[in-house]
Amino acid sequence: MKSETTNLGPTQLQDSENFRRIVLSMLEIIEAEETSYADRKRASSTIRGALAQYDKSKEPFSIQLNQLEVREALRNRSVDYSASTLDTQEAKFADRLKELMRTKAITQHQLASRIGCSQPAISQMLNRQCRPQRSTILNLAAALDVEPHELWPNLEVTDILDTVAAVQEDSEMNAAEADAIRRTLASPPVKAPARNLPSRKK
Amino acid sequence: MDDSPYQLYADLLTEQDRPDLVQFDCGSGLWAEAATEWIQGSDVWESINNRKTRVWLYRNDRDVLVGFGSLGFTRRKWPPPDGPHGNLQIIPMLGLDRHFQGKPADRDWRYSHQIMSHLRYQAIRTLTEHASSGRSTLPLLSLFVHQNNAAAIRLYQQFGFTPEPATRRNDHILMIQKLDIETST
Repeated sequence: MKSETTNLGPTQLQDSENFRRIVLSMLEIIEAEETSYADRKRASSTIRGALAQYDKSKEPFSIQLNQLEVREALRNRSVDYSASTLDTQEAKFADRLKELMRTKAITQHQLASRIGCSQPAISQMLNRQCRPQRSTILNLAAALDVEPHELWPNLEVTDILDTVAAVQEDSEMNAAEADAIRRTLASPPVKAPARNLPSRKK
Repeated sequence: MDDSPYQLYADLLTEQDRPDLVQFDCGSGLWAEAATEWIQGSDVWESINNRKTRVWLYRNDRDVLVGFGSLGFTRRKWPPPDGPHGNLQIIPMLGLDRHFQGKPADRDWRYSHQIMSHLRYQAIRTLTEHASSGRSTLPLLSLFVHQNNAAAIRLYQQFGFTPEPATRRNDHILMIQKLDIETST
């Protein structure tokens, strides 16, 4: 299954019939009841890759399958496309936290008081409405007596996301930032491309 | 100019776009994973709802999601330390799906270039609108990048950003440029 879905070289995409055959076989995999979630994702990814690589200039009108039809097929398979299906680290964290609270028989209130936050904050994390900061993950791990990576797989990703959130906050400038802004304001404007893009939804 | 098969289309992200995000993947590696997590998780909505950030999804003419970009504000006292507040435009996050990175070969249509060019255009347009309505917005565009992300730093430099290594925060450095109201094309 794996080699079938991932080894999709340009040679296989040279004619539209081959392209169509590959896409249809991937759709069959997606639509089969017994297909696992991971295989379904992989097959979908293969279709996307094929669509991305296919040089439609060769036979522009012979391809009947387009992204909209693929999406329709995916919808017909009644895949739940709500936020919960997004395979994020945040979603995994929520699942793991929920499971740990269940096995350790800890309520949201108890956990909140152990790490010094509010019960609604715990609830939001469990419902994937709020990503935990690194410090919260460390506090939760200590409170639940597990390693931090058992809650969140890659803390370095959290570090980056925390930084991205922090730089958007209104904050006092440090001297280096003020200096950079002052020098940039005094410099001439840059000449670089600036072009609007058309909308797809019209 | 719009008849290239590589033309990207930009539309603001809405709740209805969630299905398209399921398969979106910036690839492996720390920054790529963070970008994917940002657009798929709650950070993007936090930024839209609390910071009034605009987030665009970029699709090709087959409706395939190619990437995303964002543009927001942060408020700074300018001039420091006690000046009135000014808006500083910032690109919080952007990302390209792994299938489209480094493509196409034609640099004029390189997807990353179309996205950077579009974000610059939007920043200039915002600055122009703010200037005409009397809002105090600095004629600058900023972003923070991980100091080891050499490919991204190179791309941003091509689009006029200067790295400011002294501003390091959690291994991220400020990159900044001066915008020209007249540059808009």
